[in-house]
Amino acid sequence: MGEVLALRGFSAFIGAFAALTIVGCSSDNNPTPIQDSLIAAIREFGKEPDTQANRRAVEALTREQLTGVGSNPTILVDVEVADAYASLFQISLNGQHDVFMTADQVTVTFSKGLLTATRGIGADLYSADVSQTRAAIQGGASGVVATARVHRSLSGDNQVIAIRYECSLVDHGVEPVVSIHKTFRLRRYVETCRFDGDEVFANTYWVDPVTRVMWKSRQWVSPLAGYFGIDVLIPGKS
Amino acid sequence: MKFFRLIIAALLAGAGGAATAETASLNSFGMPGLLDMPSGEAAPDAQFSITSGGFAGTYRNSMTFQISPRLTGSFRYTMIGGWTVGPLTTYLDRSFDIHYRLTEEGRYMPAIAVGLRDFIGTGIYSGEYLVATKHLTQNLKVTVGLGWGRLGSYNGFRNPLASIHPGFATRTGGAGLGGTPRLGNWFRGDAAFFGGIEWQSPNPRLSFKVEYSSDAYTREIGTHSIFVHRSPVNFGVDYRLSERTRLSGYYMYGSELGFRVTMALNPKNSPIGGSLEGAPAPVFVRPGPGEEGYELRDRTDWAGQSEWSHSLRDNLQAALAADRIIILSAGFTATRVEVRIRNEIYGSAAQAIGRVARMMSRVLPLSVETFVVTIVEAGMPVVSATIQRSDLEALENDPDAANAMLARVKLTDPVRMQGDIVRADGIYPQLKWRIGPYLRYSAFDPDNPLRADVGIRVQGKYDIAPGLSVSGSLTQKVVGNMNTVTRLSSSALPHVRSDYGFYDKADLALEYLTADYLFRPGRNLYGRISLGYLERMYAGVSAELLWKPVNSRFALGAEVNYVAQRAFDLGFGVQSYQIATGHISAYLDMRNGYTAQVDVGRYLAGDLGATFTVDREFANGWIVGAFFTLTDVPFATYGEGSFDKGIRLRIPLSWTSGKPSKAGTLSVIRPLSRDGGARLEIRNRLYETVRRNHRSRLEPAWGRFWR
Repeated sequence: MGEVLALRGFSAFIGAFAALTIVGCSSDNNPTPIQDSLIAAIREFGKEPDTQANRRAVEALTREQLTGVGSNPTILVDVEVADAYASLFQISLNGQHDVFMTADQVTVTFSKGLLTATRGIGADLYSADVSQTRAAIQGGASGVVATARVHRSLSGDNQVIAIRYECSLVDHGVEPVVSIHKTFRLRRYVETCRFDGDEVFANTYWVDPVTRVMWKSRQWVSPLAGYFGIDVLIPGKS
Repeated sequence: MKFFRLIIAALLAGAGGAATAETASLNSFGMPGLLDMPSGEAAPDAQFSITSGGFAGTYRNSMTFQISPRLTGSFRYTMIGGWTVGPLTTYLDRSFDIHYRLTEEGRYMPAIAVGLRDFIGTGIYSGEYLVATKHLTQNLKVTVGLGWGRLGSYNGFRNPLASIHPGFATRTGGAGLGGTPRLGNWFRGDAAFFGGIEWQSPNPRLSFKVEYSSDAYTREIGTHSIFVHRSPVNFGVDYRLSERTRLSGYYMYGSELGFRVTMALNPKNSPIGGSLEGAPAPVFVRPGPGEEGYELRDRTDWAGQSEWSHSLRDNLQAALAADRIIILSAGFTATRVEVRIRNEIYGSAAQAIGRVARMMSRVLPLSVETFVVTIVEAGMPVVSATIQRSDLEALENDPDAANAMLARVKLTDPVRMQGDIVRADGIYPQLKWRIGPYLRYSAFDPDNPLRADVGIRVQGKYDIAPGLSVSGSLTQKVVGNMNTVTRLSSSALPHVRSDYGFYDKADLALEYLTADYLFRPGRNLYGRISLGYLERMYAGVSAELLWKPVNSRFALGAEVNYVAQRAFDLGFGVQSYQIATGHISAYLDMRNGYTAQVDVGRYLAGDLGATFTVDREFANGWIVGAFFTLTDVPFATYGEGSFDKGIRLRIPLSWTSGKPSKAGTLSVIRPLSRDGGARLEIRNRLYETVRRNHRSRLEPAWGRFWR
């Protein structure tokens, strides 16, 4: 009896609270974000989202068709953890940083191809200081280079949490790589990053040996969001 | 592509919890411990847990909060079947515990804690302890302790403290009215040893406990014959159902089986793993020297031209519509633009400021270098954030952007707008209304521990001019049992709160109907005048003045009210009881998330005294706090509980949903509702309204500026 009471009390408290805030009608014509997501959830209830539709659509098209008529920088991102695939277009350029956006308002920021921030996926990368890695790759690093990078995230309590990773960037030489129907000859770098001695992630970058353009990469976002696989159709302007 | 965000969001909603909450090992009292006995440990900082369980007809429901890394507090509601008092066959009891960890476990040093159990209840569980816990191996820990009071009742011996002072040898019985800390009894009377072992099995979900209990359950097994105490040794098993939930089963005192459910969550960790609103618009970076368009910075011929000002305002408003930010007015000069905004959804004002500033960079002419974002709350301009456009451009991608921006932004009390001013149309007058369900509940009545009503609520607010409005709320009960209160108040004081049962008999209820005026009487000053049916039980007039500088951690307020008690039918009538009340209030933000408030004044029953409140406030909007009120009403006159006290809890909706929202009301949980130390319930007191936009609230959540 005691158990049931407290359990009900607790979930009823949260549930009723949520319901009272969301349900009902009002003079306000614009639904709040919470109402929006509730409506979306009801609409999509029971439907399996077709996470592969984008990938199939992309694979059916040539690079020329994908880039269309414009020359706006475009990338394709494979969110491994969600088995989702999206195309993003550049919407902003700020010095060495390119901001790309999906159609549903997720942004991903890169500096010379290196991921520095995400917004709108929940477990976002708030910022990443990748200056050492960027300098090494742009400087044509070979062999093994020690790098350090600082990743920041916004905690559930709105605190900016910084973690410094000690990494080693290893040059694996030039190899043929296929990216969206096209074979490139690119230099592969693997950057393995540790925190407190434990390996946390390993990013892979494929970079043009001459122009230093990063055409393809697999980069870590955060513990919950995992890795993004990135293919570049038209490189960012930075 | 359309579902990109939703898919990740859905995924994280499931995964978020896994990486967050830790469930500390708690005992049947909801405190760090074994089965009935405490341990020397503490729960993770800020953990909020609810435990519920029992054995032998005794059910304990506790709400426990790790107030600081060392200090644990708990409020408990106990039901003991078979403990007969007068006509009641189930004893219902509320009690509070406090537990302080003196040392953290080290290589050789055990975790040592001191605690007070049931220290301001009626005292049936009263006991004190000193306890140490040490890991022997990674999976095995041992606890040894010394208990007093109930925890010294089995196999007790002469109190070792008696050698310091003979007064420690005896403990007086009798619980009295309860509610007061019975200091004179702490650590007195016989003492006894207790202890136990906890083993974490190789299966991470399963752990086992065995304890030697020093609680003899004297009254349960004696006077009330509730169960048979055959052995002091108890056995238990914990099964971790999920990261948040544990199920426990135990075999107690050689005769009884018991169970418990423990749910723990931590306000510091969002269950979603982040917030799910769309990305903000990036900063537009103006061309630098030598770049095409640089000369546009010098073009200022647009300034002062009304059609330009109007079209810029319109463009900015259109760009901010999705963020539900309303531009009430804007002032344009060639180099400086101020917008006064109403923030409807962002719980963090820093986020609203950040989004407006970035959008200004995308909309305003290149000559504008200074952006001023002024937040208007309840019709009052409460803070101006002055941001240099070049800082926005330079810091957007700075790895330490949050701190760097915080160091550059200026927060000030808003002053008169400059330049060509454009005011929004259609803001005043405006009627807002909503119709929706409501839930009212009451807990802890001995006749019926949980009562509730469900029905329809109609609320309206008519904004007449900035700060001036008329608001009302009407409820119609559909189903419920709140009207079944039969207990009549025997209070010796005027029945200012204790007649609540009569009010709950009204099916159609006017909750409030007031005219309110909130205004800025001067620099750092805020004012409020409310007139009408202020709350369910009182009607009258209330006036308040608050002094609160934007960058100050300190504030002072004064409130005076003249009210009449409302008729029980919750219509327009009033009763004969009338009273003038008022308080002087001091507020302090103690940093690191702790805030304190002292209110001194006259309460509804005419009693004089003070209310002390301490909250732990999280940057995401969670509040967990406690308060007590002492007045010149003697404890005996006050009655059961001795004085007014309670717990404050706010869980923001944005925390549970991951979506931006300002919703989340502060709930006050009182073990008892009586007439001494009772204050008027005013919906729109100034301090919270104002302070949520001031530095002491903006700074802790400043990371949101770039979100």
